[in-house]
Amino acid sequence: MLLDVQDVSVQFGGLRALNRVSFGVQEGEIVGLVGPNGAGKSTMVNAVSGALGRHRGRITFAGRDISGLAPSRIAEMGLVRTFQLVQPFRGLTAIECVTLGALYGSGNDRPTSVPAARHLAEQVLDFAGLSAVAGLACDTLNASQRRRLEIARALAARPKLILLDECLSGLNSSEIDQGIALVRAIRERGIAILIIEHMVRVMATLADRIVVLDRGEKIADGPADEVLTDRRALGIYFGTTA
Amino acid sequence: MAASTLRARWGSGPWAGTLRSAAIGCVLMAILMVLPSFLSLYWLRLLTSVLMLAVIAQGMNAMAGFVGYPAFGNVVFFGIGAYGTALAIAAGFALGPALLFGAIPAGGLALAVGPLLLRLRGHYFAIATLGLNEVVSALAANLSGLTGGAAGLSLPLGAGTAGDAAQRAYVGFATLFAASLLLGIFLRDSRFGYGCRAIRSNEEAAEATGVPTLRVKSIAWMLSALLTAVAGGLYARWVGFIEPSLVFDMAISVKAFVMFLLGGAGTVFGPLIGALLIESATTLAWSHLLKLHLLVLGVTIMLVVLLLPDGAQGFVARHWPTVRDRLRRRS
Ligand SMILES: Nc1ncnc2c1ncn2[C@@H]1O[C@H](COP(=O)(O)OP(=O)(O)O)[C@@H](O)[C@H]1O
Ligand SMILES: [Mg+2]
Repeated sequence: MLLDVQDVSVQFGGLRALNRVSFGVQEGEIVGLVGPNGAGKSTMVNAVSGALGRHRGRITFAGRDISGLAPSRIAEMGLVRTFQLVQPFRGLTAIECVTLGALYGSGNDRPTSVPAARHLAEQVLDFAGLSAVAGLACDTLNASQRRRLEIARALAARPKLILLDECLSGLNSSEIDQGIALVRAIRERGIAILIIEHMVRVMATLADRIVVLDRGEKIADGPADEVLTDRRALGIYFGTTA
Repeated sequence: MAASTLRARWGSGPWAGTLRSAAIGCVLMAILMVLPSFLSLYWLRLLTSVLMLAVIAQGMNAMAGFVGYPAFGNVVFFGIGAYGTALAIAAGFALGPALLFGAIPAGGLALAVGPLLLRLRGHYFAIATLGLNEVVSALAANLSGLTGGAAGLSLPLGAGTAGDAAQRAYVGFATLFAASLLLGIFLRDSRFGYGCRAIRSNEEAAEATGVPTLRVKSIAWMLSALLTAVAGGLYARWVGFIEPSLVFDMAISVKAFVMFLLGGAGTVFGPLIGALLIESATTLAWSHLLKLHLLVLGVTIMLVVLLLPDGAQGFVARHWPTVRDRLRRRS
């Protein structure tokens, strides 16, 4: 198991955002994390990526306990995330954002110089279909480009596992198709993916397995086709947008 | 090699920006090397103080400009550098090693309190650094057995005439100024610099991308402290007398802050431009409008901040392409 989440609970004051949730992600696998708004999906991403600081339970990545590590340490081990609310680096150009990912990010195959990192960034931008906007300030990009830039920055960090928190939300139908193709291409590079998305269409085409959260509890976990054919529960799984 | 070949080879390569800045820096240093033979003692002193302020402003720029942490109290390192160096000189050390007695405690202090203070952001960090300066300056004033207290500390005169001393100070600050340019280029173009700029832009996303933010911030502050402390040490040697109210003076920090903002935050040459502009304005106002000079200075600062929000270097960068195109069309 590449990522192993065991009995993770998170409490915000009186609110139990996650209650003893366990699941795993295998190498090279795409796992979908679904559930209505407020189910605790982003909280799970924050706990796994170290952004939360404290949680109960055990999270191991590549065989090492990562609970309590700084997010930068976790990224260095090869676990990189994107944000549901896109976090652009104001004042940096698209290529600089991605070069940053290449220069830091995972310790594996890290480029040894700034020009080498820039070279890698050019390749990743091309892969994400962003070559044309490489020189633009990243806060001037449109919604779809920003989403793909987030993914490109994470990819340049050479992750083993990438956490995509609603990386396709707010996009139109053709942009979503581009996004799906990009996620597929990432998996073909051997990178495991934990993807959060509301749309059944996205999950059906991408996920190998699906984990369903509702109000902080895990209510289903299984192969995508099984979970997705459970018609009665689809309404709960995907909230109102299904 | 022809200029066009050079441009083809370096003009667009991965290090183009670095090489351009290095070239500008070399030209500047060459000018600074020949300039003293044309200057009177008065102008030499003025230029020396411009260089000193440009260095202090670069120290401020390193933290407030590149990393985005307004280290208002940075003058504390100037004071520590001045006292450490002065005490070492008084104990018989030559200037070179004596500067280390100022720089090492200053860098050490930044590294020691950085991991604590750099958890604060924005105004809170700024205020905490002010507190740090108050504490250290109170220590310097009260440890009178060591520092001479509020009465200050006098240094033995160096060899030679007043002109020789001015020359030595000039050479010292010009050398340190070159180092400050290298620091600026490093903070802009290196891997470490990418980390700094990512922190300024979005610290949470930087950390998530793998930038060890607390470590990067602390090291950047240490570099800023080292530069500022060596400036303090050279200043102590230059003026020969220091007291807490002189070298821990917040007015120095304020000036440095205005200068780097004016020249262009997070740029390599901004601090020099800011120091030149402010010092010329002050000198002019001082000589012609003695009573009003503070007013003139204040109004200048406000106008410039309103009209040049991204500093002089940003202003030039914004308008240079249009100007260049017009010039080309004309010729
Ligand atoms: N930092 C926080 N402080 C307090 N409550 C939070 C915080 N983050 C999330 N929550 C709450 O936790 C619950 C789960 O939120 P979240 O994980 O963002 O849901 P999802 O991503 O599944 O829509 C929500 O009720 C949300 O309001
Ligand atoms: Mg969410």
